[in-house]
Amino acid sequence: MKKMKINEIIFICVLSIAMGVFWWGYTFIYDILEPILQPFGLKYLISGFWLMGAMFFGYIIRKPGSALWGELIPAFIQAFVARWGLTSIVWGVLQGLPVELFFLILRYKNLSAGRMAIAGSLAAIASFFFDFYLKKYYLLSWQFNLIQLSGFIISGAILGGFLAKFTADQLQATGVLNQFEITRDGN
Amino acid sequence: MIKIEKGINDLVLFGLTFAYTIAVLVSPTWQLCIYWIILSLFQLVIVRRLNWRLISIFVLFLLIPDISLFITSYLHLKDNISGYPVIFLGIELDHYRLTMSLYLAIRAAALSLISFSFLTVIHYEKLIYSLIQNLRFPVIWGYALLVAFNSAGNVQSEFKRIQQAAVMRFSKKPLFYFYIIPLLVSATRYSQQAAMSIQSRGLNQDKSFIKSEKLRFFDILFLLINLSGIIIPLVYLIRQN
Amino acid sequence: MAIEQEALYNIRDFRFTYPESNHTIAWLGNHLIKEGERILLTGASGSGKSTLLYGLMGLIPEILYGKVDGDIFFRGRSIIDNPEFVKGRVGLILQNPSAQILCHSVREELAYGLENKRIAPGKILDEIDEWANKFGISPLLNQRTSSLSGGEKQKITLLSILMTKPEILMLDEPTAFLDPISAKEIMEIIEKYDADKTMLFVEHNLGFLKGQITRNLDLDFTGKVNDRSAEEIIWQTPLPFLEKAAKGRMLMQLENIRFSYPEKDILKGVNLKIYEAEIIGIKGRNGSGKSTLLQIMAGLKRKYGGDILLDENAYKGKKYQYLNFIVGLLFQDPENHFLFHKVEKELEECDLQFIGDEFEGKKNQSPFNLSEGEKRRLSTAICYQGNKKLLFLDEPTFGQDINNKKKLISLLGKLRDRGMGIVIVSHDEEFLKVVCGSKYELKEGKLQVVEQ
Repeated sequence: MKKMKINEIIFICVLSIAMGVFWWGYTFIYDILEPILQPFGLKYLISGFWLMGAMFFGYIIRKPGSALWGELIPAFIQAFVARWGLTSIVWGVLQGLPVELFFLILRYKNLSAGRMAIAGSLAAIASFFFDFYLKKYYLLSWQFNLIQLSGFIISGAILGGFLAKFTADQLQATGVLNQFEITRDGN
Repeated sequence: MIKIEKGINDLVLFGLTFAYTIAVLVSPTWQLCIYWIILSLFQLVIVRRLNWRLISIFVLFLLIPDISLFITSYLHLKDNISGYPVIFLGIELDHYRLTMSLYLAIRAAALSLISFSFLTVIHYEKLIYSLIQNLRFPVIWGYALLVAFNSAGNVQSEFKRIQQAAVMRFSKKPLFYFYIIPLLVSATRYSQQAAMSIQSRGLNQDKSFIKSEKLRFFDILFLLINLSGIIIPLVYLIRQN
Repeated sequence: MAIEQEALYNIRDFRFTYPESNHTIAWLGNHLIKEGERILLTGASGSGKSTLLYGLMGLIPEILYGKVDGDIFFRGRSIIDNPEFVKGRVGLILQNPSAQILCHSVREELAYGLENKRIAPGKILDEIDEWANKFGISPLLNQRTSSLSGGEKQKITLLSILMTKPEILMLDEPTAFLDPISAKEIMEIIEKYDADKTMLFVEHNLGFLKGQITRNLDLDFTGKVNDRSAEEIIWQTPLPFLEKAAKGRMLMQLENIRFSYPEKDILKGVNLKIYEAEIIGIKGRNGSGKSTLLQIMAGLKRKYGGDILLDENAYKGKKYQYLNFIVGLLFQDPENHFLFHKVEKELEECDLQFIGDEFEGKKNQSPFNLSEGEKRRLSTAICYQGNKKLLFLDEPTFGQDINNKKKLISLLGKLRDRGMGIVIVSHDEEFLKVVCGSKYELKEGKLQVVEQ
């Protein structure tokens, strides 16, 4: 596995801004649905979208660090535009790190749909784990927490893993990603 | 207003955001969270000009999700602890659950509000230069971020043009996610040109800067005062428990 | 007595194969580039001109990954093996003015090159002031880079690179996004800096280069290089003249159209009549309001003064919606029109046989993967789909070489013969001359007749 090159680094940063448009727009949908879903523990069903960064960039660039930075850079940009401000960065690290470790174990090879879904679930579990302590979910009932966790895992797998792979595959079909590892691995 | 030449370094403010965030995270009562909000906003008022209108709109915006959080917590707290009953508007409420839910909701609000207020006064380019000059943040990531922020205008006009092309074609605006591939293709081509430009112009980790963002005495002083203002009360409170 | 100049570059049988597409470009033979030369690289789109520039810049394999055969030497050392050897010694200017801007403010942008060489900040600021005075950009110094126009951005990038005193300057279609006046200003800056600067150009827009070039390297698809001297360069392959046709009935009339932004008035009373089967050309400086005018005519801007007269019986409901329906608007960047992942899907509603035939073999490809000329023709077909009576084109010749321009002329002729009213906004004087029945110039907010 090689080191990330300058064009991949700029790729992550510039695309994070472009994707940021969609993450920012999604915030409005989230803001409307969250207050309704939250009392039922279902707000995490729609939270997976923000986990997409790590998996999207990890899948395209396939080099050590691409998943972590792929989550961290969008988080840094989000910090300046989203409601939850600086905490985005903290959560970015917590969500990117498990995906990065998972991809490192796989040596960034053979990233199939199933593996992407697993990556998404791992990110969701890790993120929930920290939410559990930092947002003091341990004060709430275990049934409620179970519903939240399950929702997050499903969301992470679908809106995170599958969506990342789908979008990246579509982008590759346009031919613009010919310089990246995704084309050489031929997934 | 303390008049310091060029104002407090953005990196210090960035660091303080984290400090106040951690302070809120470890605070055991909601009154303490509110204290942190007031203290941090006070610091900001001293060193920068705050956009109060923006912050008030934000607070109003915050109310909805945090009220929802309040209700959620109240309903789902563990049943094993209970306090004495309290009558409010004819409904019987549990005092323990009331305080706990209030605590969770205000805590979340404090986190958002403090983050948001700090970020409205930080300039991204000064922060990046400060990171590079003081913490040896890799220049490649620093300038990549600068390029990315510069591309925002380009993304905006591309989005508008793609939307216009779609309106001309289908006589209606297409669904949100539809734009994503054309937009990402444009962003990829932009990033390729930017990469070639930076690579050819060179990038030196030890480059000089015409605008110095190095930390000065007042920056460190401000940081230390704030940190002691946070750590000392917390240590005192934790010892008390 | 001729002094033998040391060769700056030695290109030896350079070949490059792109990954995935297996497309190979080649520069066969041994070619020397000497100091003081000004070389124009020409050849069909996709033949490999830009690729050679990137190779000379030392960007292969760092930025551009692929299989390299042959070699390139800079002052005797192979830069395929040691790309760092050339770093900081050569300058590159690319097409997109915005993508080359790195910093937030103009001063910082100008300082960038010298900062990299670790020169003291005080000295850099002095140099910036000196250069700003010499090249007349002092008023821009305190501005944010985001507020600059395309031409200004290219100037700043150029100056920033020239301040580092590169040994050779390479330019890859630097004027592609600029109007002719800005393009000339770019050349003037280079002239003023160093009239004997060694330069390498890749350009389609040959107009402003006349008198500047000493040598031409023309590449074809087989890799054969035609090395011509300045006198042998074919400056203008004349474009085929499009026979004028008889106009039909009037489709649209603009009456005293006015439009203003908060800071200033752009359109101050535009009058125009568009008929069936006619092609109208409009030229004007960047910022004169051409794009705004097209948008108003297409129904994309609703708050304007004056009136657009149409056939009132043809529609019910909102005028701007009807305009959206009958007008096809073709943007400068054809990729703005692509929404699907297969060419087939894009052409679903197209009944143009002659378009369909061209893309027969490429139905399953992504539209983003086509060549420049194909993208232009595909986007034209997309805009034509579905009952369009009028077609407005914004800079359709941007980035197109001679062959593609010829195909475009033929395409426009066929569309016109089907009764479409066509309006072309362009800087390309020659193109407008051969294609348009009448020409106007948008000056000071009004359309002035240039030719009928």
